[in-house]
Amino acid sequence: MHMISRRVVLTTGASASLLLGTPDWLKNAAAQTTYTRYSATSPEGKAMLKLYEKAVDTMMNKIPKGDPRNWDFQWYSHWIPGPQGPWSAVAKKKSDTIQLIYAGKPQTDPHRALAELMWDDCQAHGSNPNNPTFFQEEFFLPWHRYFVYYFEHIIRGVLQNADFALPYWNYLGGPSASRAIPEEFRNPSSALYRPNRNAGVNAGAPIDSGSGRTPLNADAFNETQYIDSPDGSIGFCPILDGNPHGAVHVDVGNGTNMGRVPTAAGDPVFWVHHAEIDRLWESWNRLGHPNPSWPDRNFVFANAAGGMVRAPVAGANSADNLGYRYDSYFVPAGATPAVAATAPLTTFAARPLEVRGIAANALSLGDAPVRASLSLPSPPLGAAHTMQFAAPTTARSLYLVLTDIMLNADPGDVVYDVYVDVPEGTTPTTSDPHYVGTINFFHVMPGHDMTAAPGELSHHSTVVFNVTDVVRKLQSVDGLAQQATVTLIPSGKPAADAKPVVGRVELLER
Amino acid sequence: MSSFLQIMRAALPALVLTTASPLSQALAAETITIAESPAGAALPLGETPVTVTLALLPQAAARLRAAPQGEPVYLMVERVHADAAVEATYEVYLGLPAGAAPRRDDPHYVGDFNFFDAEARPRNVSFNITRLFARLRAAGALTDTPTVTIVPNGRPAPAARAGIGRLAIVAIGR
Repeated sequence: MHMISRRVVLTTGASASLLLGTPDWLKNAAAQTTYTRYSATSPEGKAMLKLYEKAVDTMMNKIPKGDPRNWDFQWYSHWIPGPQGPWSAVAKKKSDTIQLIYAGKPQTDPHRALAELMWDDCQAHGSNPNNPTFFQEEFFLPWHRYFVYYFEHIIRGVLQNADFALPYWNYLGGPSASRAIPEEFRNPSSALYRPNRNAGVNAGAPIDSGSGRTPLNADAFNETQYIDSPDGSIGFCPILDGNPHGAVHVDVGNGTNMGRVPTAAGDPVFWVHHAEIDRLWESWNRLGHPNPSWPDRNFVFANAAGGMVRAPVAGANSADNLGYRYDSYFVPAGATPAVAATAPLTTFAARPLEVRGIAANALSLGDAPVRASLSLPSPPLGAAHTMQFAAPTTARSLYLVLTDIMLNADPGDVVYDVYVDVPEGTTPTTSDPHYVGTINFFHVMPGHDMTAAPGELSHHSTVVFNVTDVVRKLQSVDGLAQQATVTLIPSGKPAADAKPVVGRVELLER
Repeated sequence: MSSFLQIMRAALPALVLTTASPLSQALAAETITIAESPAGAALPLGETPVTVTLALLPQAAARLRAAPQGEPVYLMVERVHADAAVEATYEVYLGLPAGAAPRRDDPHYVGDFNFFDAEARPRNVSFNITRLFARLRAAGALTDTPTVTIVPNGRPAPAARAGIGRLAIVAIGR
């Protein structure tokens, strides 16, 4: 169990027995309902910065490269130092970096698999022509909220300290505001120091005064809509993205650090900057401005134990929903002080999904059954990468997710029936208790995907099966195999040139 | 079994998660262009200020003279792009009189933009000029050919090849 499950325990009222087997520091966290993030210049914030310094030092120097709790792993999740475009260059750099860091490790290595999913993910700083809706401006704020949130969880794990909360650098206004970078980041002997920031920054000069600097402003608070133009450039989110967000980046750093997307998250000040951006978003909500209704979309992050989490964008709708608040909120001149915030989301759809199992490779489908084993995404050190299906507790559900279903051409008259835990050598039918559902190619047929370029056949789709009842019945009636498997059996024969593929198979729980 | 039946059978037990729709298109109000720079003109930015004259769109001419009460107005700087970190910022002015020295405390000052996150793809930047626009119009300082002046602050890195695309004044129709 990891930190996000604490919220599930709290919101579902499940018994404390769910916490059995949890480290002591994490058990303590379960007793605390809400964390407070303090200004970096407050006594509480300064105490947290001492802990932060220790955590950064550990992440940089003691946790091995390739571990999701390593400093570079988190940095690269924002962007890998190198090109930001074109996408082919970005993809090559990512591939080269993974080859270098995970040399000798198979593609099934859970940390390597997580790097594949997490690195170069920052919203909305990229442009992937193969997946044109992947990066979207409206995800700038929720993606970074989760990024900071899970980073904070990792620090709690690294420090074995459940009380840690990341401070924010208040550069915009109010009693604790300072345009100078907090002094803890200016001490050359500290892990929080970076020598190559812009001139004067490490001397404590206000970052936004002087030649070439962008003055910070709160113009985003003039906006009443989250997104207000078809190109996504008008509204609170995009204007905040430009100033103070982008302005602070280029005011603090240059092309080797904060001033450029691929290098920005290598500077520890990045995280207290983004805690402030997160506070400003929450402040805007508290002035009575609602967020949009979020689409179905998950982001991948690592939790305190380095395991994979799929976090739905709707879950980041408010800080309350994630169990933290700020010691104060920004109120622009002339605005009415904080009114009721958006209600915490406790809906099912907003809760994160924990990854319970994953198939090592994509499944190429043809006219014969295809079987895949699922392995644990984050096994205990030294344990084999095998896993068994297990029915979740009554408050939770288990999902089998088939992602990136792709075709080269119309497959003709064929669908695939999906089964779990089918005994080897048997060919069941859809009345078998191992049957969970059937996939077709309706949503990935050429011409269906309006985002694809003319003639382009790179279409993607995701299908989710709730397998809770199937697994529960199998567990109680027939027992479950030691090795969890998923089997796809064709009904019909695919056209030879269709070459259907299921890119990823995952077992998720929430 | 027919394809249709197979599709229906397959659709029943599964929840299909579509890829995220472009939320901004679904949420956005209509933008009405009032004036814009010449079509297709990409504008490289360097160490010297540049002034661009916008052309008033005839169908929106009334908005320049008397925009509806409370209608938000934005200055758009589109396709902000660079090959590398520019390491300078650019100030934007609307209707700056010819020969006037640009200063950020000038009533024609709109704001600054920079090139953070402008390498992967061009970025559109918007400035809310509702009050500035109304003030300049009331003072008779906006002509039918409004100008936008862009002034470097700092020394832009030449290798960054910074530039922008269209400049426009737009209103948000509700």
